Amino acid sequence: MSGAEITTGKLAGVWVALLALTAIEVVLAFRLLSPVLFLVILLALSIGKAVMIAAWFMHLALAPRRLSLVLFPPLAVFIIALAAILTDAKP
Amino acid sequence: MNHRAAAWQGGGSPFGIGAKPLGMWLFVVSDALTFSALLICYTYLRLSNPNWPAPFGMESILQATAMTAVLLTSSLTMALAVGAIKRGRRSATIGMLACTMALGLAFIVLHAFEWRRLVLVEKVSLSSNPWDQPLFGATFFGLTGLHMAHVSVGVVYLGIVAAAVARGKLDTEDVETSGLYWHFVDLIWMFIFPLVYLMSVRM
Repeated sequence: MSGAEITTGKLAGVWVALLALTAIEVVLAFRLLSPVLFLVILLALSIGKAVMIAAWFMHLALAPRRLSLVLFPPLAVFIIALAAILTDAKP
Repeated sequence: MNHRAAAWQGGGSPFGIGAKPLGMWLFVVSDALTFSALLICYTYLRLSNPNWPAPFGMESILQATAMTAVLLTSSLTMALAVGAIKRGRRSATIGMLACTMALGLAFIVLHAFEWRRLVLVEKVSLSSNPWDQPLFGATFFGLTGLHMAHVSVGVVYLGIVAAAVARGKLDTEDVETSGLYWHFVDLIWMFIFPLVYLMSVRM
């Protein structure tokens, strides 16, 4: 991991993309969407942002795939637990 | 290959990274599960309760958005610090680490203002609030407090790393490892901001 490098231009591009996705989230917050639909959209955007941070800022894109596989279980647990528990969350 | 590595035949670096970043990755994984449990708990309560408080007006949302931008920018400066140490530019590394710390402090100050507003103006405490939803305060302060504690620890951690880099006592791998921690703190906020703030906007 130490030998490879991500260019400053690419890092700046990722930063701009993350800010843009945040702006989209904020705009959507003031639309009258149903809570469940809004939650699904927010989770999709948040997971996308998290993947970008892990891949480029944390250099996971340059790391061996076996390291990524170590990190996959917690994400899977999060999504499965969220899906399983939130289906029970009825007002 | 040393004796211990030869014994298990996995090589000296089975994941292609050093022991320090690998240790940090494993910490990040375990800490992510802690935050996951809290986020799932908060979101469950939010969705299952139609009377869940919505104390975040336009001013709060703009402030939280600014906090998000500050944290994202601090991740950029942290990544630039890692790039600088890889090129052997120690003074640039220290400068970028100082920028990251300053942005982290700005995040903490903005967050403290938000807490102050909730406690003093909205009268929210850990066990009570004007909307008669006692779990709101406990879950909100628990979740954001744990995150703010991580940011505070991160600022101190980066200060120690910057001082050690200035004395020439730490190398690339150490700065990379501190960067993993800082980016993780940023990554967690990418879930807290939408699930806590944007899901409870006061229209």
